[in-house]
Amino acid sequence: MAFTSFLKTCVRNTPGNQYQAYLCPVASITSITLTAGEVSAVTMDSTAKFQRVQGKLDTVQFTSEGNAGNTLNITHSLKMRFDKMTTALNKWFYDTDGIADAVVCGMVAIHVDGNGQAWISGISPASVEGTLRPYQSATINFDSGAAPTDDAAAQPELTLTRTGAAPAYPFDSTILATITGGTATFINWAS
Amino acid sequence: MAEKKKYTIDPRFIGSTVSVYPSIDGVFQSAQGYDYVLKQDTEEKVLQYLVNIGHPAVTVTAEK
Repeated sequence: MAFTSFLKTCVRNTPGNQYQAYLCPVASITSITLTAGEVSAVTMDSTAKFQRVQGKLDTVQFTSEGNAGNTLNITHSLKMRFDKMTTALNKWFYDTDGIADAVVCGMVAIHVDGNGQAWISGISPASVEGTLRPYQSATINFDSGAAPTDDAAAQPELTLTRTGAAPAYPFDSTILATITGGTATFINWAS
Repeated sequence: MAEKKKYTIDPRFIGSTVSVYPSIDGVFQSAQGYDYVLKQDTEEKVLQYLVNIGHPAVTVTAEK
């Protein structure tokens, strides 16, 4: 492929992400399809689905740091805070089949940015990374704070990280509509 | 006479790269995926695999 132009379009940009992201173990995915650089299909193993994760508004942050030289490596981080520590959240972090178990084999994430575009990260065509490089690290931080006036305290924070050679991939408009519309068949909308 | 299968590829997926990650009950069968570029003459066994995993690009019908 020849090197090509990139021409700007003058459109407004909205930083941040929707407070709802979607996670699943990487082995739950049986295929992804890229058409012209966008994800046009996702198939799942048996009845497996992406699970919804609802964080606190304006705390979901996706970062991507790419370093290109003789090699290309890209580090992704998906961070989100939650309103408070609860039994359910504690179990979601640490129980069997929770985050702590799921990152052992790796996870794949979908986030929807402030411009309304959904992105998948943690999975890629074989030709890009050669092997699977999902999110295999989770940092789970909690600080109770010391007083009721510590406004930002006592909010558990989850950070998933991965390093590979693949970028996050955007979904095409057809699948995007099903994600934002709550009908994507590869996402568990029931619970 | 044995039934012959006819595979139809949704035209919007022609030229797409399908990356498959074979797994059984959530356990990967390989440490890497495989990429297939969908073409009109994509091998039948690949098309059947895509049908088996429920890929929307391929539909199969029986021809007598």
